[in-house]
Amino acid sequence: MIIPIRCFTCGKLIGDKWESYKKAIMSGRDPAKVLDELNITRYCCRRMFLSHIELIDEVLQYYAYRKGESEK
Amino acid sequence: MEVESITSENDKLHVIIKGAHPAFVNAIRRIIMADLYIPAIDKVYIAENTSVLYDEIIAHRLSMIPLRGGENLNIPEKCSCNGKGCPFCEVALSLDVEAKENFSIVYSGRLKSEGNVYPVNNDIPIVKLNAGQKISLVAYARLGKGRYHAKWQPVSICVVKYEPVISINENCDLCGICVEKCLKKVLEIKENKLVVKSIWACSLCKVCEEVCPKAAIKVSYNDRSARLTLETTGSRTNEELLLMACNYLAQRCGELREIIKSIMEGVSNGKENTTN
Repeated sequence: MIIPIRCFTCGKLIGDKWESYKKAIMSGRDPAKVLDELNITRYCCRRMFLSHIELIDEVLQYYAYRKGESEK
Repeated sequence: MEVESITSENDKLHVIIKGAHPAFVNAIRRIIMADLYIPAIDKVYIAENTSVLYDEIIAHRLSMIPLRGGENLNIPEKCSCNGKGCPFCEVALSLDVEAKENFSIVYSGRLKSEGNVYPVNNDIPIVKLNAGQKISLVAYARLGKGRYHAKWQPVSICVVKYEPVISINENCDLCGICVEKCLKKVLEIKENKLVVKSIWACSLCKVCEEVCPKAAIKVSYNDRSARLTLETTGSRTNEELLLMACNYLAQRCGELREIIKSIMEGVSNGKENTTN
């Protein structure tokens, strides 16, 4: 749904690094290098980034639709 | 016992302790993981939440945010309120955000603290709001330790490792197979000699031993020397955690000594009574 605040396995703080990660990925950079630069060294934390899908962005759009409906 | 070196890289701290049994260093490790008091959000009163995340998810996300400060707070179990929660053992953090026109992300920086407890970082996303959504809540941070919940665990990594010992004898003919096969790149041929480049990188896998045709290499460990590695989540610095752990160990040993002393006195008094 939304990026977890900590790594599920080790508890490292990862929530604050998601946006810079996503920005770098969107500009076409290699995820491995971006993660190295962000000092995400363990594979437990790396999979948090690699496997994450920010679904909340999709869900928020439905809210906008419902809101418009209720205003009618 | 002597501390050979303290090196830090990024959030990590390596401490090499010579002349101490790894069991002793392990005691410090376990204390750091489970017995040090740090603040974390423990109670959340949600006044309004029209975001797409459930109250429970938001409360959980808030609790996972590492918090700095809180040194002057009472430990809830020992507080005069008996752990119910009072201004001496709790700090309120309030969050009040309404997305008026546009989509917005609520960051940890928006948490307003009423005491000296702050999020370690102002860029942790708590929730995303679309236009018209609102979130309003009061969260209470209190001290706790890793034994109670992982949110109070001050470290993400805390490991003890024995010192690896790699001995190379005169049978070595510099074939270089071990250098090539070592996964951690510990070995190196330098000036016609096989040398150990980075001893602490060795994982004691013994691949070098197996591949050596001359049986010239031997991997063992020194159990009188250990390396403690810790990586803080941010609420305290690594050095602070280490000192807190040492103080805690000393305090607990002191308590144990007092108890044993009183038992011994009781026993010797009892003996006197029976003989009399």
